[in-house]
Amino acid sequence: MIRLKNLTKIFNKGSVNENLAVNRVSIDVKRGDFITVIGSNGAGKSTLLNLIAGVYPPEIGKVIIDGRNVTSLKEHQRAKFIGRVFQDPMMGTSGSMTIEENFSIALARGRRRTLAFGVNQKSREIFRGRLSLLGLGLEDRLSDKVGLLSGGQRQSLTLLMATLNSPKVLLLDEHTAALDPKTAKLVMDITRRIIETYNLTTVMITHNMQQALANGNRLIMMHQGRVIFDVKGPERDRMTVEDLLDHFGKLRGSLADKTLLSIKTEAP
Amino acid sequence: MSFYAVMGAISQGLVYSLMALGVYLTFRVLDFPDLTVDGSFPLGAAVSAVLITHGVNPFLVLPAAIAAGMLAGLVTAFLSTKLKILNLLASILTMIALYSINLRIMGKPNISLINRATIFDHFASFRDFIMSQGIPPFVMVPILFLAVIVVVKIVLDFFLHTELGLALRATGDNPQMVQAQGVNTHFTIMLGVALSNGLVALSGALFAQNQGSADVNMGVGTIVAGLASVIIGEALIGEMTVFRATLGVIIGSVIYRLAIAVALQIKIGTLQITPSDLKLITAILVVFALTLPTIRGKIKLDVFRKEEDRQ
Repeated sequence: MIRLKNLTKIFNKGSVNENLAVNRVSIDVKRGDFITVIGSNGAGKSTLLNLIAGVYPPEIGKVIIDGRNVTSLKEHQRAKFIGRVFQDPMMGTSGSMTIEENFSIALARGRRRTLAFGVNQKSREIFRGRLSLLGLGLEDRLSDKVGLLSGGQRQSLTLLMATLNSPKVLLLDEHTAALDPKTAKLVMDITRRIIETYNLTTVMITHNMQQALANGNRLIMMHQGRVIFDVKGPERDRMTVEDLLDHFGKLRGSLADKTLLSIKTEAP
Repeated sequence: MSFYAVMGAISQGLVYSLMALGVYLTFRVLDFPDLTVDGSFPLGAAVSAVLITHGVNPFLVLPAAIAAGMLAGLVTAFLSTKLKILNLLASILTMIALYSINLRIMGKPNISLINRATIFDHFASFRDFIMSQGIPPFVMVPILFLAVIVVVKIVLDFFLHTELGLALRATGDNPQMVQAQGVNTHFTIMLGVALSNGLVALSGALFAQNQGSADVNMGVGTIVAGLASVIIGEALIGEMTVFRATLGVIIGSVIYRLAIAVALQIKIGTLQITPSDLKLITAILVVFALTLPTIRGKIKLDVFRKEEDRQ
C-alpha cells in the first residue's frame, strides 16, 4: 500500500546546520498493516511521516501509495488518500468553527469544494452517526464550537475527520502523547476500533515502547534517520519492552545512555 | 448636529461598511493583515470616475471597479503565497504600487463627477416619491446604500457557510489542518484577499459617485477606519457567528462615522477640531478599542481578587 524507496531528507542543505533527518529509508507497507514506529528524539520519525504526507519533498527517493508515485504531489493533493492526526490536539481541528463545520471540511476532502451549503440535513446525519461511535456524547453538540472541547475530545474528533472518507493510509504522529494517561487510553481504544472497523493501513509514531508493542502487527525502530530494527509476526508478538531495549543496545552498541533514557518505557 | 449631518454620517458609514466587510474578511476570517485597501479603495473610485467621464453607464462601472479591486487583491495574495513575501509587506508593496497606477488610470490627481450622471440620478422617481411623503430628498442615499449593504451581507454570510467558505474560514484559523484536509491554502488565500479588495473597490466606487469626485489621496487611512469598524462591531455585537460578526462590522462602521461627526463639533477653548485631525482621532480610537479587552480583563481580575480576599 505504501512503498518508500531510498527516501532521504536533508534539512538546511549546504549550511553548517545541515541535518540528515531521514537517510535512505526503504519500507514496504502492506494493505491493512498497522505499523508502529519508535525511536529517540531526532531519529527522523516525524520527518518520515511528513514525507509520506507530502509536507515537504524528499531530496532523494520515491513515495508510492497504492501503486501511484505521489512524490511530486503536494500535501493538499495527497490529502485525498491520506488521513492524519497530529500530536497537538489543537492542530487537527479549527477551534473557532463548530463540530459540524469541521466535519464538513473533512467530508469534502478529495473533491472540489463547491458553493453548496457545507452543512445540511444529510451530512448532519452522517456526522451524528460517526460521532455516536465515540460514546462521548458529541453527537448532540454538533453546533458547539470545537474550541470548547477538551484535548481528548478534539483528538477523537480529528481521528473521525481523518478517517471519514476511508483514506488509503492513516498517519498518526504521537497522537496520544499530549493527553493525560486516562484520555490517552481512551483515544487509543477509539483509534484501534476505527482502524479495525475500516481495516485501515496505518503508520503510528509513538514514544512509548509499551504502546508500540501493544498495537499493530509490525514494529520499526529508527535511529539517526535510519531504520535499525524491523520486526513483525510472532517474533514481534513475543517481544517485551526489555527485549526492545536489549535490541536497541545491541544494534547500537556505542549508543549513549542518554539516548536510551529519552525513550519512555512505562505504560501509558 | 443637524438631521442632514446625521444622515450624511450614516450614509458614509454604510458605504464604508462595504470596505470594512472587506477588512473583516482579510484581518479576521483569513488572519491576513492586508493594507492593500488603502490603494484599492481609491482604485475603485478611479475606475468608476474615469469610466463615467467616458460615458459608461454608472451601474456597469461598478462590476468594473470590483474586478479592478479583485485584481489588486490577487497581486497581494500572489506576492505573499507564491513569492513568499510576508503578507503585511506584500500588501504594502501593492498599496504603494497602486498609488502610481491610480494616477495613471485617472491621468490627474482629481476627477470631478459634477454634472455627470451617477447611479443616484437613476433613482429620480424614488427621490420624488420620498419627497412626496414629506421626507427630505437627501434621505434617499442612505436608503439606497442600506439596500446594497443588506444584499452584500446576505451573500457574504451565505458564502462563508458554503464548502468553499468553510475552507476559507479554516485557512485563517488553522492552515495546517486545512491542508491536511486537502485544501490548497494558496487558493483560499487568493480567493479571500481578492474578494476582500473587490468589496473595498466597490465601496470606493460608490463613495466617489456619491461624493461627486475621485481623488488619488482619498485612500489614506482607509485600513484604520476599516479596523476601527471591525473592532467596534466586535465589542458591541460580538463575533460568535458569521451573521453577528458581519452585522457588527456594518453597525461598527456607522457608529464610527457618527462618532467622527460628533467629534467634529467639539470645541475645546479656542481649539476647534477640524477634518484634518480625523486621522489622529481615528488612530487614538483604534488604540483605545484594541486595548479595551486588556483593560476590561484587568478590571475583571481585580474584582475576582477582591472576592477571594473576602473569603
